[in-house]
Amino acid sequence: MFDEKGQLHTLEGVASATILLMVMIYAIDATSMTPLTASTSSLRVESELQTLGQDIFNVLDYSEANYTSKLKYDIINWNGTEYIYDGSKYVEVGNATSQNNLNNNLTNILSSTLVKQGIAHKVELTYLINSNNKTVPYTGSIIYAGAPSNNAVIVSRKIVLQDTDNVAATIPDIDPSSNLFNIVDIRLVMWRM
Amino acid sequence: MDFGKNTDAQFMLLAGFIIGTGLVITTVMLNSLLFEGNMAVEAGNELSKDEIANLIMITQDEIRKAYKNSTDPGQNVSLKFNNFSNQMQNFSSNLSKIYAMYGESINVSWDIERWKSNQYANFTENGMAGGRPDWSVVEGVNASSVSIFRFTNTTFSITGFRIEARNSSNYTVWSGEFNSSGYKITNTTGTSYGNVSGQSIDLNSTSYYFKQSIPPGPVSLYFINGNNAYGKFQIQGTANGRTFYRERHFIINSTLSYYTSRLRANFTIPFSVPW
Amino acid sequence: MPTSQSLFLYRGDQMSPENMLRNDKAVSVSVGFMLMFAITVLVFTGLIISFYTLTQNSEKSAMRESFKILGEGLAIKITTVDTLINMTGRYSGTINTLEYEFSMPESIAAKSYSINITNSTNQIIMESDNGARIAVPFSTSVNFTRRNIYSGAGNYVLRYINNSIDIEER
Repeated sequence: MFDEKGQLHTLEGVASATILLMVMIYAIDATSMTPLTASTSSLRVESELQTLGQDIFNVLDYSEANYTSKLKYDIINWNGTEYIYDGSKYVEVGNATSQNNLNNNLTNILSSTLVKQGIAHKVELTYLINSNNKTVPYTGSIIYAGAPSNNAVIVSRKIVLQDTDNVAATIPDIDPSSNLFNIVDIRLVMWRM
Repeated sequence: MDFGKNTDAQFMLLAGFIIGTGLVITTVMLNSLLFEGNMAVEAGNELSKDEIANLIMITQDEIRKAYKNSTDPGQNVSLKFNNFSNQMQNFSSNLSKIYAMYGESINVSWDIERWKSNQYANFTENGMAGGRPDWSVVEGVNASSVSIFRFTNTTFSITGFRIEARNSSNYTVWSGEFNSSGYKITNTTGTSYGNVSGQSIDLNSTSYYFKQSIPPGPVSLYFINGNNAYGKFQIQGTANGRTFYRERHFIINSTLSYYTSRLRANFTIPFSVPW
Repeated sequence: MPTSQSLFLYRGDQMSPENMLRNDKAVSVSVGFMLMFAITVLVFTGLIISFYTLTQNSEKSAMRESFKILGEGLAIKITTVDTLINMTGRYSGTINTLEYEFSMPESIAAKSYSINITNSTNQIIMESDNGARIAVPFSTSVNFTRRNIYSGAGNYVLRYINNSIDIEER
């Protein structure tokens, strides 16, 4: 047993065992840190997007006494159709040749902030409707951009509409007995591609 | 023995070397594995203070609009409290439905006792007796554009309540002091005295020399010692190129509660109506 | 054969370089086995002790990292409660209740830890038995009650009572 024959067998055994071990350890090491793990860097990206979205809404929703804010003005004048960004402007979904592009205060700010930084975004509007003698929320989409990734950030703002605001026909009046027209919640979903 | 020329067992040496290197690499990888296994992951529950700020703002706007609607000249005066409560009730119940979408439960309640008993607001910054007595009502006003500037249902104490108009160098170009015995108007040329008739003061009338003595240029209007007087006031004019409105009749205390699975907040805020 | 000058005959006189390598006299199997066994045990013990020290070291640095992240998260929560209090004050409102629940892991690297919040230096100090210690500064505009809480409760609550922020186990 103590001679030098069979060295190559030993070496083969050792080399194959080492390769197996290294593959196993590499696989375990790779799975412990995945994109789904909440590390500090993904939290930082999410909080940056959250701050950006809140700032956009803070700027749009500012109004002085007896004036309508820019965001409220856009909501009042929304005609109910869905738009999608085609690279330069927001065109109607399903009707690419139509010239009715979305061009309001919201799209102005979105083009100069989110589009320039390559942040995908979609805007949804939830309002109350009367259905089966009950008031329930209903969500319509203003800007459509597909399904978000799993580190998407949502910011939302609630706005109250009055009868005297002359809202476009898409949003119904849920309280004819008083001057309250509807309560809407506008939601901006942002994610990095 | 011939050690120098013996080349046997080379592979054994190589095997030993590879085993040693493999052990070192294994140890380093295992170290990082152990490190990662011991890290604690925290559940990210972010409290959104913007939600609460949004709730306060829309409640403030709705209370003011409901008050304006129920006290509009075209509405039935005897039904004003009912109309206000009706609109606020519908607002509160519908608001709960929108907030419930996000798993948040809210409740809005309001107290109109001061309105019902004609307990007018002080002329302090927030309308309460303990609020800041010296504050600026509006800045950058074009004095000749002021179309409405009046106080009604006023009560003054012995110590005076003063209105000042200051120009851009912070120099008071016009001031009017009111107390229970009368008024005193001071401008750049002189002083004049008089008595207040009834409980209304219309500063657009010539006896107060408001528009007449203020030179052209933007001025800022200040209330000084606003805790010494209470009543209603209304100012309307042009400032910085836009029409502005400032008006206060009463204070309506509103209690807001905001509950989520992690946060319970309940606070009472005095809102001044109509603006 | 060379003879020595003394009366006894030494066997070592038979030593020569050739003989040393191939000579297997005075070799006992059991003694050899005991020697090999003892050396193996010593080597393995040394290996395991160094392995244990290595894991202890990595445990301590992992705990320190976790403390940093958790401590900063707690500082953010305290600051958020402080912002809410000031926001209500800006509207001249009064806060009737304000409670904010949050959770911390019960043990980090299988060891419990303690959170010590001082209000003279405004620091959150997290430390554990094995010497890992982290201090995170924070700043509030309202008063903060001095507290020393221990992990293991899991759920804690930040409360605004008597014009100061208090932290308690739930």
